[in-house]
Amino acid sequence: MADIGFESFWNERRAEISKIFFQYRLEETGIETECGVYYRMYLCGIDGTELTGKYICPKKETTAVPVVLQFHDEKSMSRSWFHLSRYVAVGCSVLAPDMPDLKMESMERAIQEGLLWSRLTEILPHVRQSFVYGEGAGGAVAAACAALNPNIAAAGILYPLCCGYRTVYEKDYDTGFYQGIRQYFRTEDPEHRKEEAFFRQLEKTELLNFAPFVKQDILLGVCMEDAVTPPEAQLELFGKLSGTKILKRYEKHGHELNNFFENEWLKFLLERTDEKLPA
Amino acid sequence: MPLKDMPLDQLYQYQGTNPCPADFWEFWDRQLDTTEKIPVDFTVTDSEIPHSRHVGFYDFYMTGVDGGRIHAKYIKPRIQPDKKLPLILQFHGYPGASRGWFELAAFAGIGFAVLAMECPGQGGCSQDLGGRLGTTASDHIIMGLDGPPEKMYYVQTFLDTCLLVRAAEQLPGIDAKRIFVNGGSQGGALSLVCAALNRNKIQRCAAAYPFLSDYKRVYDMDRDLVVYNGLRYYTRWYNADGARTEEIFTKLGYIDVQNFAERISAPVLFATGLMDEVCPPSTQFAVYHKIRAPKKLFLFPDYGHEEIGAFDDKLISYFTGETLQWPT
Repeated sequence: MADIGFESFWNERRAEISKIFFQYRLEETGIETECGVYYRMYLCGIDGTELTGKYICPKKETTAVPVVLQFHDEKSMSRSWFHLSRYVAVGCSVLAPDMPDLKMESMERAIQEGLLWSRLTEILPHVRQSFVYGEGAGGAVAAACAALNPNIAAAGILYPLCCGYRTVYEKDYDTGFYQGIRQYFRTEDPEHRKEEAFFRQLEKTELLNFAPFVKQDILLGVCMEDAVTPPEAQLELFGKLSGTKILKRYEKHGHELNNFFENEWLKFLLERTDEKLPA
Repeated sequence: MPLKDMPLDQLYQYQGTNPCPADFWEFWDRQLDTTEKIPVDFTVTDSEIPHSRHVGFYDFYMTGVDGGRIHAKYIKPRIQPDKKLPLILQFHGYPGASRGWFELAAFAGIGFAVLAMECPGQGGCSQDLGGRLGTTASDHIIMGLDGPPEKMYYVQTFLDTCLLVRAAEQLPGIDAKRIFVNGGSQGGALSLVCAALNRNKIQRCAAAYPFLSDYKRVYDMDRDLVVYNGLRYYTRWYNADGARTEEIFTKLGYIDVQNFAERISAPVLFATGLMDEVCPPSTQFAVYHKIRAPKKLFLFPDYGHEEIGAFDDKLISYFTGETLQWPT
């Protein structure tokens, strides 16, 4: 790991959150089903900004339930109420934050915000265990949360971004989410005189740096035709994870909806939430 | 408004281009009579997903109209064992498979059992025994186009939905009075056709951007690409000079969703993305206009042929209400 004060930087961010008095409120949505209660969640952010999300709880559970904190990918918002209802089906609550500003340049803030949401899951009523799940930029937030919050039980991560910034640059992935890299060199440093310093700045959100701190069980999905973020760096991330880990590698899938990985996440979750029935 | 097709005011008037065979309903009533005589034969077995305390995940197999083995994913929540559950028949897009177990579990999350049939010979596990006259080198639209209409791929697949409904009615713990259909693209087409062919058995229908509609319009727009690519292949190989155009499209009329629409009795919730370049909006409006049952259309001007989360959310109140409530 580069000497960038990575640990001290994130310890400070954690400390900022530990000083916060959590202020959140739940607003009923009017959606009513046999199984779930649907809320719009409002959470006061670190700088006082109001953060929003979706929160669905199983209706008829009398005991505390597992909660899944699900982070969405870039250029998106939390998935639909219908989409998220899948968690209620297997007896879990789900909290899905909206992160409208998932950009490479703002990932420090996104990760800290993710950590804040993960802390919130610990104080929600009727919750007994917190899991995180994320895809793409949300996968980066989920993985970083697992590293920064040891109370998270386990995580599912599909094609995480912020993984291997150097590889991104060298393999020409520096468009889209990573366009800031190309933009920087083209406009600010065309001769690459400050290349090291530039990449050092990105080290704070580099998932490869978070990996050794991830001790939980991790399910990682890597799609080898991923044109958004380099799969080789994701495989390197897998190698660096220090807890129990499962890799699901999809040879001809890209950065896209992947039902096969979702099924694996379902199985992974069921195995860890004690909801399985004996055969 | 985006302009991938005709202007919106014309879409609201458009009634379709593809010819309808003169004996359309005679033909289909004959097929229904024949299918009614086929015994329903199905099994339900454990799937790759372990059962949870809250929900069971099963593989469902039945024998299709051509004798092939049809597979469906079946998910059944354990809400109140003594209470019968409503059921969604979910149909998938072309040429894929039923969606993943976890994705389909969303229906269980809103209190429904779900039975997601896979179309024969496509991306799932359902068997297509084939044996049809004509090319098999391109898409399923044209499979069997050279033979008698009753052997066309989609005639058989549409009839498979009738066997599916009969099987669904017999599933233990299912409320046969609350069987609903849902799907997008090919799944939207199958939902509508299933509702038409199983009139009075399907109580609610939802369809997003249906495929298999108004083939001639697709052809005229040069949208005979992607899922409609079979039309182009067939034309290039067997109708290069255009001499058979009327004959071919009339025959395709037997499997044109717009021709089924008038027989649907269930209410229909319908979604169209105006940026749809796969199934042109006009071909969808042609279907919508011909539905005589209560119906509601939601337009998504900035969406194409893709998941529309906002429409998925409308399904919740549409399907879960004890009495019909149109989403707003």
